[in-house]
Amino acid sequence: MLEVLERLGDNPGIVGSLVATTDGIVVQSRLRSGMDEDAAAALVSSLLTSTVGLLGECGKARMGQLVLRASRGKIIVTDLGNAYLVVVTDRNLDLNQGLLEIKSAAKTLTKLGRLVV
Amino acid sequence: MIGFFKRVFELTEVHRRRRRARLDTTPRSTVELCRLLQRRGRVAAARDVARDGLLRFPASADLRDILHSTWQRSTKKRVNELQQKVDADPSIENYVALIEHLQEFDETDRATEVSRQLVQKHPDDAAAALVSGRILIARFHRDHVAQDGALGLRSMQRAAELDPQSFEAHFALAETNYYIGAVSKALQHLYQALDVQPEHTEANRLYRILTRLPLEKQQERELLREVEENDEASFRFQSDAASESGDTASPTKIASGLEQLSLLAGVRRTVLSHRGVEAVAQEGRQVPVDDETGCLLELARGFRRTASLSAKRMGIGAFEEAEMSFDTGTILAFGSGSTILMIETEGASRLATIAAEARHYLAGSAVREPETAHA
Repeated sequence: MLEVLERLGDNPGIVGSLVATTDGIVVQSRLRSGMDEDAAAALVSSLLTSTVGLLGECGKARMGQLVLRASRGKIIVTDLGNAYLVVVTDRNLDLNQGLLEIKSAAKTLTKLGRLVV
Repeated sequence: MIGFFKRVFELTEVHRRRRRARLDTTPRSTVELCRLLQRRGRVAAARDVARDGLLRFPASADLRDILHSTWQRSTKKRVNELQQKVDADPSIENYVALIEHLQEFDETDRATEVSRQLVQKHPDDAAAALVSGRILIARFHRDHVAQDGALGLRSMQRAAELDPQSFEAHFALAETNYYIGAVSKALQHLYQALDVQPEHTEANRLYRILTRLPLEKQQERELLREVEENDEASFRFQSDAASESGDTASPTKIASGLEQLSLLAGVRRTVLSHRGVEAVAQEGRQVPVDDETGCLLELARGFRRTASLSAKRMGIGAFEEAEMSFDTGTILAFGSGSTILMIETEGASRLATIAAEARHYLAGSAVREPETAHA
């Protein structure tokens, strides 16, 4: 799993990535130095639990993907079945190319997830 | 001859679009004009139109993107020249020239990085601390990230310590402390600013406002966190000109725009939460808030708060927009300060068109945040 996240981190524009369970517990992470792993994990956990909870209350089915754009970067959350892949990028990521890489990593992680999570 | 007519046609088209952009109360026509100029290869002209457009529509993500891409293409040489000057002679003047150029084109993040290098090179220079403080405070106003505010205040404080006669440092400290609600600190710096320039109009106006406000009970750190969480200032200072413009959003205009958005093909419902105005629209009409629509409003409010805080604290700045995909459709969310617009769509087609319209609506004058000081 770490290998997949490391490969993902080699892409220009990707600042870090992590895999978290649907209730926000971080399974594995690979963040660029300077990023506080615990803080990032807590934030991702809060983002996931709050958003998924609110969506559930509105009768929304499981979220396949969330792309959040901010003034200095993006957060991309992809459904892995029993977990989520969360990728943090900077402003200059080419979204089309980035999403392809993320989709490919998610596919690999989904296969792994069936064995690991 | 054909070339001549083509040129005349192009100029007429650009002129017509310029006129339309001036009259449009949303950034749509300005964005279209920029794209037309870009298609015609007039990158520098597109850049200048985007830069001027941002003065009218500061919340327009489209104009910001155009400015960023055209700036990269049209001024690369100039930036390289300025950077080379800094490398050869890292004087404050050379740094300031590079920073000012970056700021002129809204490249605040890169300017922040350069100003950080400037302060490292000249740690005991008041001008360096002032420049750095100014940029960090500008970024704090844009993104409401508490850390930027804290660093900006620290930098300005340093500038004021190194040059106690600096009106700009004291006034910036007064304004920023007022912005976060630190009234006593704001007054303290305003007195020092007025000692240097007793007749300064804006400083005297701020003094009249500050002396009517209660003093703060919280520490700076808590106040900054409050601005970060609420995504809006405790108080906002505006110039006389801005206060006289009366340019504020009306709930009727807001609702009408929301209803129009709900008429777009592929849109199921539109939801807006904006400074006390909360509305849901479907098929071109506002609908009452019941269990189902209330849930969407709750989702919009909750998502704005979580998305905004997550983005800021993960170091990627202010939340602007999000796309959530489901088997049954997509939810688009657009944030601007404490405002959130959420659009529930059917399927994933036409998302780009819907998103473009939503951005124009949110950045347009119908929803533009009132700039009145509210105590």
